[in-house]
Amino acid sequence: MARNLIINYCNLLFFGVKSKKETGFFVKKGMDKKLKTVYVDKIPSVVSKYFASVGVTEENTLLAMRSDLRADGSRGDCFIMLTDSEAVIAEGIIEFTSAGRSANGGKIRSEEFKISRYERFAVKDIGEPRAEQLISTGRVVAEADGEDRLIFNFSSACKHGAAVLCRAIGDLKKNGRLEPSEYENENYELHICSKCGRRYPDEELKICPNCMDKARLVKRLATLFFRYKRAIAMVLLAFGLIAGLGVVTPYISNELLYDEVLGKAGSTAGDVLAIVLLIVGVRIASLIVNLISGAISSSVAANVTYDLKKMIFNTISNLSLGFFTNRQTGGLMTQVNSDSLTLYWFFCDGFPYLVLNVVQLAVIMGVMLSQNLVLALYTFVTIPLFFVGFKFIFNVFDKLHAKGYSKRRSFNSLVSDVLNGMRVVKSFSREDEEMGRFGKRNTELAEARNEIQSFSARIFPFLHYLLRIGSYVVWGVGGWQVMNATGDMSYGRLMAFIGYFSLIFGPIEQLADVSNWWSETLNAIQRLFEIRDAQPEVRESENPTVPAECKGEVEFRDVTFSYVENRKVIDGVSFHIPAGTTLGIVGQTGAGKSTLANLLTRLYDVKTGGVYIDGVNIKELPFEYLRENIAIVSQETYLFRGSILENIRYACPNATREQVIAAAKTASAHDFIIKYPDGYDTEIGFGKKDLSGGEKQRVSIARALLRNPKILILDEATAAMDTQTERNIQAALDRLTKNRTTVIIAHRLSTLRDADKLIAIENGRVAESGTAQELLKQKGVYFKLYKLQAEALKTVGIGE
Amino acid sequence: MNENRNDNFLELAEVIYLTADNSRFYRTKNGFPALEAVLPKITDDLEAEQDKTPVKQDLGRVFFHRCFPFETPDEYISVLNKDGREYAMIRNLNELPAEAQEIIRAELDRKYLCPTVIKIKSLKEKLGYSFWEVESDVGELTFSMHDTYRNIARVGGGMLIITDVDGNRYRIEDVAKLDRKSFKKIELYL
Repeated sequence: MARNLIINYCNLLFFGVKSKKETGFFVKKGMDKKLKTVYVDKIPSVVSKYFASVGVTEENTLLAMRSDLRADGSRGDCFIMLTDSEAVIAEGIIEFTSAGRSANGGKIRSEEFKISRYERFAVKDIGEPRAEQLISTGRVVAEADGEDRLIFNFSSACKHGAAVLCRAIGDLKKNGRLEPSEYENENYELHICSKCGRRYPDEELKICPNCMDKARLVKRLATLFFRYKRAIAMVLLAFGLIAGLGVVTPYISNELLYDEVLGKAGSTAGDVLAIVLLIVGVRIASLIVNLISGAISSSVAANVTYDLKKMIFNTISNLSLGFFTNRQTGGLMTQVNSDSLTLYWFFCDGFPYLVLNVVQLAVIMGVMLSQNLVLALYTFVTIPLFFVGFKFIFNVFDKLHAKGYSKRRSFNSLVSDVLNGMRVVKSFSREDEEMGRFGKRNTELAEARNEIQSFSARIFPFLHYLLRIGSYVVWGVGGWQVMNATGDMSYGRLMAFIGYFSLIFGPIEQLADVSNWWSETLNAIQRLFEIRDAQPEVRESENPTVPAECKGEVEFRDVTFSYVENRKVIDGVSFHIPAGTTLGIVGQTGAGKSTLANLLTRLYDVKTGGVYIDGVNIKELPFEYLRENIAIVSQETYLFRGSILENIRYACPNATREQVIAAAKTASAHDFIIKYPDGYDTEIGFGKKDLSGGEKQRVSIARALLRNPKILILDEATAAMDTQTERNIQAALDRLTKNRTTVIIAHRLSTLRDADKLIAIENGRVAESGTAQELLKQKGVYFKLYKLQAEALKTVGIGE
Repeated sequence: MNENRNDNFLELAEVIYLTADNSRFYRTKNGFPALEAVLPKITDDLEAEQDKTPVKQDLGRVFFHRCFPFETPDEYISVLNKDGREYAMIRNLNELPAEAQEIIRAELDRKYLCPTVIKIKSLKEKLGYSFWEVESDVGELTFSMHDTYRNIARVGGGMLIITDVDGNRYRIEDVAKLDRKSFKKIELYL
């Protein structure tokens, strides 16, 4: 009772909403509500209770979300519930209070939702809400009574929720209901880690790096391990032989030599020749084993890295374009390279060595203990010291190397920057400044290197000295034992002991670094599997419909699209291209023209609405069918290394030479190609013949034509050509575009003169559409462009 | 000679600056900044000869954008319409009347809202992501970053802008003034 009063009071105080409205949505809407409440974020129970107390129950809530910024811009909780008639907003803090103890002594905690803002917006009274993206935060604003009004604030962490809410209110206004299929997958449970409750940092991957259990990674590592088990076993065998020989060598060349042969006491006394031959034999054997193991490792290395890279490259090519625009492709490839090297190193070097070192260490320590318990114990005292010492040194080195690495990176990027931009540097005579910048980075790099050098110069003599102390102990205690003939010690045995002692440090050094390279390996495998596990955003339908024949009719129905949340690039675009006709798209740079082409070719998927070919949604068509029937010549032409012939044939490798020539001729490429000494066999690409912009475009047009698609998209495909060439190509295209649906995107209106219909795109919307004549009469965007270009002609005296 | 060339350029660019004389900022009924100003009419019509004579007009709600957000946050502020088209510029916020300053500052503060990190309590790298626990001017915050090295930007002097996986920004005013422990944690990424 009291609460209701307060709420009514709040309503009156803040918004003057009459409480009569509140009761409105108690009315059950019958059966049309098939959508279960969509929880975009988790709503605490105390908050749900609060909302229920004002009549917003799970029954009538369509969508619920949480934001983390309050209306005044301060941090705090803000909850938004959407019913089919209202958006209800409550901001406040959840307070925990201790409410005494229960019967068995446990604390009873009670929560209370202390409210600081409460507001209701009737969906019909506000305009379609927009999410205004600010620098690091945003706000949802809607028009009410002709003026913008703040609905709620959000930080970028909640930007997705804000976008969903805006879309939902928009849909409610338009259709009066939410389409369940479009909202069901917005439930927060699908997007957060079930363990720690954090949102997955990457929507495509759905992995929580915080909770990703190492066990799973190790398991995956193990699967790879089994894949390479033969290789690893072979390396292990080779290493084992080396190590075994390493262990017997001190025994033979010290104990056996000094005590048995030279000591006149043993059974083989005086048999110098035999022992020398034995020593030589062991040395030769270890040399041979070394050679064999080297051969094994290098062949294994090549195979394993090849295999890893193949696996990764295969998955990379299957990912959608969005994956690459989110990451830097160059960095991606370097990462893949270095990660597969790390893994290779783990399988073929690190792991076998580790096993070997542990075994070797155990064997040597066992031998030492069995030979002379006291002396062995004395020497082992120094081992923990070394272990800690090595660990410390590796940590410092890791840090120094990381620093050096980042300096080298910035140095390299500067160098490549300046070299690539040499024309600009020279034309503004900025050489001196660039030299200065170069000098600064160079000094920093040198300093970082110097730091590493000076650290190792300081630390290693010290470490060697420490190592000496260990051997001093052996010398002292062992020598004393030899002199006093205690502990069954002989001169030869002492020498062998010292030999063993020096063998201990190799394994210890590596074991000290084990934790570091282990985590590095896990990182590498995680990154590799991250790529392997990534779900392509654009997925082929599982049971696609395969139309018998493609007529080439294209329709965009109310399409919206955004590359980044809350920045709509395409906003409700609809148009229809009858089969076999030509559509021209004009508009300013950045208006969204190329995005339309990307959507039609399904490089990206539309956010809402749909693209239809012959009446079938392209999401239901197989990729194969799409690629077969749509060809695009884009503004970024890319030619691969290889001959011109190979490049033209890229999309259909089986085309005959005659077909290639016909395509080249149509694209006006034939004439310039035959001017090259090697004709169609001219090699292009890095360091070879470099084609000019216009030539590249002509080759890529030929490439698309050879494909002979039903739908051809020319996205600024002739922009880099002179007008004469463009005319020639157009004349040829005119013949070609008969019976072919063509979309031409262009700045230059002359390019579009033969289009059956034109649409002008402005800020992601269709500003106007019709034939060129109709658009001229409308005096809108097209007319403006026309006038501008006509004026440009007038200035040189070619009035139209 | 150099100066002459620049002056000539300034004239050609025709940047309009708002002053106390040609503008009046006010708030809309719902609290958003709005502007009434004496400016040439903005038309899209290319046919009509562009009329450059300033007229007094009520532009309604306006938007702001700092041209140099890090170095001179109070100077060179662009005043835009909702589609991002510029009406005019403010050369220096301090030259405007107190009331206008207050309205604009409040809006800029909201737009550029971003917590300032005071202390880094914990920074852990795990499988390519880094997890942060920091103390900031708005309390304790936790966030995670991907590609940490690339998402920490140094902007003039010692200021750092950190961008997390969601695109939220955090600011460190002067990295050299952080306490030693915090600095050691972040040093590797600089």
